[in-house]
Amino acid sequence: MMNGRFCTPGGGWLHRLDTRVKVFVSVALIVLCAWWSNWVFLAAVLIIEHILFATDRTPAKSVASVWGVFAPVCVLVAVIMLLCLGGDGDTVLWQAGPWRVSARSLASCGIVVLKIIDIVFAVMLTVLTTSRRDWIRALSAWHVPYPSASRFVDRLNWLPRWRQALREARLRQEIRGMRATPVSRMWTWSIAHDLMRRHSDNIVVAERLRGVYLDRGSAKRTLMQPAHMRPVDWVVCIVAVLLTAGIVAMIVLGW
Amino acid sequence: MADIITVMNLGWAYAPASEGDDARTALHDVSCYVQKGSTVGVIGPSGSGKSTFAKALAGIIPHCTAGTLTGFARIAGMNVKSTSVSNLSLRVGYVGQDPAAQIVSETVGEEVALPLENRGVAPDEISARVGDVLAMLHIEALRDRLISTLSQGELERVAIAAAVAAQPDVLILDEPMGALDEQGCDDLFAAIERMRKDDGMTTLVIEQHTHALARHANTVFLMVGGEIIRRTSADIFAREAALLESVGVDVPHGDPPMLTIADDETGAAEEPAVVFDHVSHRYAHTAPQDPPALDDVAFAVERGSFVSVTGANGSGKSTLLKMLDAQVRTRTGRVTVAGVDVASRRTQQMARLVAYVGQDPSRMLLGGTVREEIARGARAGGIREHEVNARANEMIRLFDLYDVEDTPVSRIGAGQRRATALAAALAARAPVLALDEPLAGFDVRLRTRLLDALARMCAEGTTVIIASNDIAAVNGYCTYAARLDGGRLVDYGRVAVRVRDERDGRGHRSARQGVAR
Repeated sequence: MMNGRFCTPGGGWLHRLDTRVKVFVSVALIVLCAWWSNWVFLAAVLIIEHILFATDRTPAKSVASVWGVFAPVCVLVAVIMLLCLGGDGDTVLWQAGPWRVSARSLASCGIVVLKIIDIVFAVMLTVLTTSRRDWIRALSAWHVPYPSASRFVDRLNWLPRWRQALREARLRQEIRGMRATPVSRMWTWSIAHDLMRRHSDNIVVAERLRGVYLDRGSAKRTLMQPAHMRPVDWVVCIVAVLLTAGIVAMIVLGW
Repeated sequence: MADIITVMNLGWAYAPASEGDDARTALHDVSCYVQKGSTVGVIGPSGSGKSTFAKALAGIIPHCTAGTLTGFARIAGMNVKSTSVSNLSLRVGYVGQDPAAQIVSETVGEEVALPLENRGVAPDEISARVGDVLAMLHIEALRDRLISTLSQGELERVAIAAAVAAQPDVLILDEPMGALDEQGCDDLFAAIERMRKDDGMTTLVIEQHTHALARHANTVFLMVGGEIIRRTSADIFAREAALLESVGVDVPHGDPPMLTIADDETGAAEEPAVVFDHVSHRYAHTAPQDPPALDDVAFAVERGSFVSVTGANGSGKSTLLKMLDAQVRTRTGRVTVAGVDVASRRTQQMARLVAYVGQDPSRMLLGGTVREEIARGARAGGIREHEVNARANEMIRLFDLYDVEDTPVSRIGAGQRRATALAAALAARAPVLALDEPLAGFDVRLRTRLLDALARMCAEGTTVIIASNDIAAVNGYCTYAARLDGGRLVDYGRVAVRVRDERDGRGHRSARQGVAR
């Protein structure tokens, strides 16, 4: 249960980068990708995102698992779009009865898929490389109280924790010799749900025992390693701001 | 000297498990006083209310548990009823029976720093104090380790480190020695003694293993049936040994026993039930400079043997047991169980050959009532329903689970959960039993009953492999022992006590009497 999280431990530059800078980069990418429907830009962003992961030495398995989840979603979206847009445009590439796929509808479809994938990896740029400690440090720097920061990180990692709970439930059943049948699968979900509930209860009690809800009066909570912007964080931040400004200018000027 | 703990007529009844059930009284009219700077041992049979008492002092009862509290408890000048758990934690450190449930952070350093951060201690001081505490418990090397990569014993040490980091006035430890090796116990009591001398810290240790308490405690509370029936000094172990034995408390006799293993041929087994053939395993998270979890382990276990795997925390005992039912798959070497290559089977398929119970019994349970859980274990063997019921009844009798047989496993205590998990495994009657620290948390009566049952099963041909550092039990019951050190098998052979008994013509029973006490 405890290792159910998106972040993979590592010491690459993205892992070391200040979380606030990463959040800025992610938000900037999400906004720009949602705003500008330029396929060259969107394709470039996708490539750059993967270069960032590669240079950080983020395990390929983590990046692949994101593709594993979202590639089918993208295919589904593409198929639905192609069916709905019909033969919008002059150049028909393929026709079967009433269904036509035109060059224009195919391009629109490609742009939407690229946007989805870009936005997903923009989020993952921060999520896959930020540990619980780094999130708490960043949120504390933004004056978010520890309990809220802790809850946020827990919610953020709900999906991997649920997957971990399912694995643990399945392992219990296997140790006890239960075959994988539809009924046992349903039971797996029930055990996993119980595990998640227990985990949440345990965390609340553990936090209380560690003094999270301590009445400190006017004294402030501290951190062993508070968030700190290093020169390299400032450089990355400034570069990100300049690039964002440049791209916004390009969009506004209609390039 | 002033009392730091005052308890008067304290009572606690757990809320009913479901509508129509009765509330379960766990504490009844408990009164005691503890002086500042004392080391108090709380002893008593399983289910006597020791853990409930500890939770009441830490404030988990009544603030995080449903039930009814009566009477009065004051600890470090704070009324438990009217003070929140977090405010109590300012002066009270608590480590429960399940250290894993008490961990919040991702790494060891962060976990130990958390209570200090919550108190607003300056960052430099936090870092220094975390280093001091980890050094005091000899776990400095774990500072940057992910919590999810720790063994149960290492987790226990980390939970203790987090509890003592904030320098509490009172430290409450619930069965800490079950998961600790000998070195860990020594480190723990050395740390307690140091903090007692330096800061006047008071410590309450709830424990079934009374050897350490006899040496270190200056006050002993004996709990039976939810009441403290004796408030006395550590000489109770000599003075009232008969009373302690009659209620099921382990009475220490002399120095702790030593394990001597005869120098046998590790590969020699006429009818091997389990064979480890030069098995090595390194977890993905293991740093390159650290030793692997298992390193070229090779030995064969004769069918019908009662084998104990001993070794320090993190020496690879649990990994070895998990290999028997393919939970952990070996990359180098081969594991064979009853002639079957484990690599060719899935865990679910191995369940017919190996009944496994891990260190955390909660992780073995699937839900439902205690009876259903045990019956499910029996059904794994593919037997008829009347035989299932007979086995379930036998196990309920063996582990004394009559009171809770129809209670959902999610609502029973930790000791009863452990008993239920073991009962389900024993009911399966698999050819090989793999039990990880099965004796932890059991009183001497339950321990003896379990060991007797295992010895009987061995006599009928079942091979039992336990991971345990309970040397008295190993000497009394096990026919063979393996000793691991840093993943390497350093000793495997017959337990020397048994060799002597066989040579002297004494039976199994006589050897066991030391444990049965």
